Amino acid sequence: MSFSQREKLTYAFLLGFGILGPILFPAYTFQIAVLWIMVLFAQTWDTMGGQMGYNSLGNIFFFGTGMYICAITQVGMFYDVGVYTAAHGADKAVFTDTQYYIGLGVGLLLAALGSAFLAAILGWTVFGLRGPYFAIGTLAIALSAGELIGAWEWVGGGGGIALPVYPGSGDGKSEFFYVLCFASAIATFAFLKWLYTTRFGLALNAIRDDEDKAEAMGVHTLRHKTVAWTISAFFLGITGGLFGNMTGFIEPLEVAFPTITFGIFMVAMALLGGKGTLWGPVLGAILFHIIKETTWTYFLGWQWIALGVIIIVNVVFFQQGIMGYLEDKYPHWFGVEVEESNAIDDQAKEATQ
Amino acid sequence: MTNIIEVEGVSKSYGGVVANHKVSMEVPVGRITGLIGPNGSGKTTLFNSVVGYQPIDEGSIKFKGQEISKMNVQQIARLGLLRTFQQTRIYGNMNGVQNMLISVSHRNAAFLDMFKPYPAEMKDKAEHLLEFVGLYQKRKLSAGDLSFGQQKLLEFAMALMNDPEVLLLDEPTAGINPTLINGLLDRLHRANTEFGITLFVIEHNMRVVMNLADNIYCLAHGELLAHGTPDEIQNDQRVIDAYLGAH
Amino acid sequence: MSEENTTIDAVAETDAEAANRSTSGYHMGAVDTVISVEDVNKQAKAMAEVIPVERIAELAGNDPFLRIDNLKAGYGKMEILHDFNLQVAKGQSLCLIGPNGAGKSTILHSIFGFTNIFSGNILVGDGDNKTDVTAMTSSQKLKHGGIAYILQDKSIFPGMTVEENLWMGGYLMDTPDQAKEAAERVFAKYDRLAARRTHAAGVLSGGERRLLEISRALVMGPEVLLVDEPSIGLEPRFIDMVFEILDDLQHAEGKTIIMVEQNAKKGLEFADVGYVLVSGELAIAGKGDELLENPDVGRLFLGG
Repeated sequence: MSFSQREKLTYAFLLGFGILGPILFPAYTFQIAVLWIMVLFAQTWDTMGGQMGYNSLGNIFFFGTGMYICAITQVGMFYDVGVYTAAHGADKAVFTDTQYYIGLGVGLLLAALGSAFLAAILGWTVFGLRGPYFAIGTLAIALSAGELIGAWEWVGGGGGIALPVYPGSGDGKSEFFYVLCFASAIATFAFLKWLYTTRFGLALNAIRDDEDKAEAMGVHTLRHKTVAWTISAFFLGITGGLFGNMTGFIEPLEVAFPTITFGIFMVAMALLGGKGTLWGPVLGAILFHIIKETTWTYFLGWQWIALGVIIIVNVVFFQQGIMGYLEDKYPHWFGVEVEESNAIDDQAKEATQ
Repeated sequence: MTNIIEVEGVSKSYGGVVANHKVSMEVPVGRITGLIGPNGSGKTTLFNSVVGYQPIDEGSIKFKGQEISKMNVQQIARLGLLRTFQQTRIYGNMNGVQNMLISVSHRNAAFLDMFKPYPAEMKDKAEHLLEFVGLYQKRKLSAGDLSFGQQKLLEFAMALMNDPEVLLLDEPTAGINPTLINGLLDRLHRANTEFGITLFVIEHNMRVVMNLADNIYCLAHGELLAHGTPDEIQNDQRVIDAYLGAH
Repeated sequence: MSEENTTIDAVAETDAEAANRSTSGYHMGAVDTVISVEDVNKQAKAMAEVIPVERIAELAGNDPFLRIDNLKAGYGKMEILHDFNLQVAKGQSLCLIGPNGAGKSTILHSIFGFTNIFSGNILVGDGDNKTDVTAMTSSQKLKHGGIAYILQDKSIFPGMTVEENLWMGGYLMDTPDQAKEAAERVFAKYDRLAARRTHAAGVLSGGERRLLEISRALVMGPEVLLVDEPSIGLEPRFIDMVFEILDDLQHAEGKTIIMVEQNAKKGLEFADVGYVLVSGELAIAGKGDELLENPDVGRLFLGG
């Protein structure tokens, strides 16, 4: 089976799973939607950590900002935000169906753009740092965001914001957001797949492999780093907006800026699947999520240990992740050449024969 | 003749060690200048200062008349002043062709150019340069898997790919097979005569220096010791004592 | 009359010395022979003799101290050496030359245990009582196998003093005192190093650094020295010094030396036996000076 055949098969399988999943197992629709959220987390992290070599521990920041921007837009388009949040959901504000959908649409758009904008600004300050300093610097951003938002009464402070209620049944809501999550994951995948084939993708890899060399060759490193983060932030913003609506109620530390859970999960998932590969984060997210959900359901109390073990084993013994391991062991599956190819002359001869 | 690089009174120390002390030299445009001297005499430090890798303590460095001592590495590289590293640096997780493509000059890169694919001529040029250094058959292999000498050749090809105006080469032939050295020198001469690339070369291999450079500077203990044509330098007693060795 | 002759002879000698100077540091010469890497490989393959093991054995005096039999080795999944054979006698020196990427360093790496060995054996020892060291780890090879490896890259510990570096050479000894004793023996041999014993290794000149690297490898008392590019990056005045050190180690101390050297003329001048490696296979083998005089070898591998 050739590489492209293998690829098409994988697409078909995932597409099939994505479409049939909620149909065959309607009770799990929400969980599978969260699966696609996890895929989004892993993919957007990998652009920074895997492709560019900048291990961000603060990407969750854009998830949170997206969530809040979306929520504020959804409310703010039709009501006074301050009043709404001060009420802490005591006054059930009413949104018509149209208001809901328009609010959601505009909210998601602004969430994406707003997060992207923040990334562009923050990039100027934070990309002077490298390696562990960058990791800690970004972590600091995410941690402080949670605290700062928690102290900001206008957006609900520690009490958070209750999102507009979905105009429809509970099942309807699950399906609706499922479709949005699945579509977002696909769109992000397609975009990143294209991105990694351009010069931009090559520049990211060069920055990862040897940033000093890239600078010495005149690559606009700051420009590329900031744009990469902006792209990550864009898709994370959408992810945040979606997830906020799915949970219905957002709160700064637990839901919007969960640095210890989702913030670390995104790193663990990309590592598990294989950082720096296209399919690695997707595979890692799927596996991670399944293991997490299974242990939660059947081995409650052990799920954190299980996840911890996965992370430790990964980091200590299995750094290249599953895709990395497979690419090493079976390079021909991926069209990667290990043997030398023919000389130019020989190829020319073959062509004319 | 104009000088494309002018170094004047440059001093640099770190950690209490004086690496360069009031060094002045000129690199004439379109020619090949050599830089020799014992290890620790400050040659690589001087290169580092010229390309903006570190700030200098005093002095001035001009490129085409423009002061560059306060500019950073990328800016200087985009002006057309490129360097190769003594420790040979390439992008280890990318293959040969990719290493070449990313080396294409970023001088005039507009913002949106980042997202375009590479045109076929660039791929052709990359492949021809790889063939020249004997890496064509290994072009799809990960660059990190190449041997030391092959990585050095790749770095050299990447520098040529960039079409620089001036190339600062730090020991480009160390560890390279002698027959291939001839080929490299041939290519360097051609890059110099056909494309007008000015070369500034640090080298310990006297066969290379004498057959390549038209003027040579010798550093010792962080200071300029001697300057002259290959013949003058070869017969300069100070250079013999400090560097070439009596025999 | 005779005085005049002496004066003329004296002048003639210094001319010869001058010519000699140009051949020893880094061979002076032209750079006219330009052959592409492709062509070198093709021509080398064309002229490569299929070298029977008898020939290799003969070069080692039919009494090898170290032998490599049918080695297939490489890195990861890539096989670099294909059915490679090597034999070197005790107290003999062998120089590996050839194009970049031919597998010269891979041979040294394989002997010392840095590569993936797919098949074949490496045996060390006198006569028939050889130890099979193929599967030993590098530490075992240094400690029990009597094999030491001197790296191509700068491998001194720059922050440590010269004596500390030498003590590190004896890290595998049972007690630190034994390491220190061994280090003292090395200092006794090289007073140039002894004079700098308390200096930080990072401030040594290139030649002294190489001397430190070589002498550090001697602390464990190895029989076999694997030297990877002894003169790489060295300024001309130290190149002869390094080869003198190696010469002394071979002839005065009876060490067996296998080296890779891109300054091929110097390497073949020094070594008893030379192997020319092309694309992972032995293309030509012979006595060092015979290879030096071989015009094809000169053209293809020595730069003319």
